Amino acid sequence: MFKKSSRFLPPFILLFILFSLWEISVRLLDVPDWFLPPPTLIINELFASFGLLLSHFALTSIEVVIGLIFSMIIAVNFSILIFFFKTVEKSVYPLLIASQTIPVITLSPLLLVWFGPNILSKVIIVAIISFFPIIVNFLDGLRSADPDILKMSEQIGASKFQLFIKIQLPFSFPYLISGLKIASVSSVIGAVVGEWVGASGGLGWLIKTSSPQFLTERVFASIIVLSLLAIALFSIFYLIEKIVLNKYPIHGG
Amino acid sequence: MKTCLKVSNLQKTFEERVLFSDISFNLKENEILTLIGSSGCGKSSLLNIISGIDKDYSGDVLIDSSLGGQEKRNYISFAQQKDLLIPWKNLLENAIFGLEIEGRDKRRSQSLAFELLKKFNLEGSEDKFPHQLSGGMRQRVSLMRSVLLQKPILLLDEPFASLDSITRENLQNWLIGLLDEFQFSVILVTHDIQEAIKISDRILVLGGSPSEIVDEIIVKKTNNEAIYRKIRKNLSREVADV
Repeated sequence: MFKKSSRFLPPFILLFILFSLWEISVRLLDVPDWFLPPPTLIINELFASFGLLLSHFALTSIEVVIGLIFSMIIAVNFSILIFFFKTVEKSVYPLLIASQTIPVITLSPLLLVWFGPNILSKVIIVAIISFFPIIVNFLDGLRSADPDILKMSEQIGASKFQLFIKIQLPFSFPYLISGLKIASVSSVIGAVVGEWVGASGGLGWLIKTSSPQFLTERVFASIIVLSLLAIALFSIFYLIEKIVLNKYPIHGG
Repeated sequence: MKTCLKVSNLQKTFEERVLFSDISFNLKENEILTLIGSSGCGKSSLLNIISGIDKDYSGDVLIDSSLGGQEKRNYISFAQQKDLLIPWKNLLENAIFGLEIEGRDKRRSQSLAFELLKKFNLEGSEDKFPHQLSGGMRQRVSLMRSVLLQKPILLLDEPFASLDSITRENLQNWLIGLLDEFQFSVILVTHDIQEAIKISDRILVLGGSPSEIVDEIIVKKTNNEAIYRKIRKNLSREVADV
């Protein structure tokens, strides 16, 4: 109990100190709220606009979750194809790496034109931004299986399918989860980018529309909600990892 | 005794170096045959070829004369130097892994394994994961996995090399009893002369470069001290005297 609290306590203390300095500084220097609101005003806005933030949070969450699931399904299947077929690896993998040099924000206007300002264009952006960390990590995981265990299994008579299901897939699990943890954080960025370029709702849209109105405390409140969404998604995968690795010590405990 | 495995004119080249060029020997039914030689002489490579793991060689490995050409894995089980336990499977699941690959019924496999736990001194640890077991226990699980496959020929590649001397000696004594009971035909690879004398019926000494069989010793008909001196004479200096 003490150990757990001692792990979380330092960042909370640091945050508290930073917010206190921020609060004192803006009040002492008489900084206008539209320029930099004090933390207490932002917290107040979180409660005052709770309903508004919640409705936009729900929309962004749906975009992120659907995009992540979509991305995970495609990335896992693609990884398996690349893993088993050298031709697919040679043709697809270099293009995949090259595609990462294209900033996703530049694709957003195109997706907006092709799919309209609805949820689909955001889901696609989330899927694109999450795809790379999942596929790269999962592939590394599939290749991480102990070659001596694979040879031993082959000697016993394991088929390629058995090797994949019983050895390579379990060995890849921690890598896949690592990819998903990275993807979960970047997926929130993807959704915000999509909403920024063209949308009628979502936290990204709320930030974009609040800023020109000088509702800076609402911009900060939206950023906090977005961070909480990313932390929640990350924590879900972290928990899954802990539970599975506790039951099946893939790295030897 | 009937010959169950015939190795003829085996040649193996690794990275342009000829490991051995003309190795031939027979393994008889229920015989414990030891291949002894210095590090790097190709002992483990020989077992990899015989087991079917390594297919890049010339020469013949024929099982039971008439059965040559059929799948080696149907007749041979192989316990390697590393225990190669699967980290996320517990002791029992690791022991029955071979049976699982063969598609045998899980419950039947588990009851077979349970029957052997006592013989392998592993009772009470069946739910433990490999990282919770000692080196000796891990080796016994690895051996149990091979024994459970119930193949007539058992290959053992320095199974106790990574263990301390006391554990190694205990396991050697235990293995002698086990092999006596199960009546396998065994090829044991080791660089430990005492281990070879203690366990084997017959010893083949590998030496030279490329390696060849430089001596053949029938253990039970000769005085142990004399065998020890004879092997030492045949082996190069780098053979560990443990």
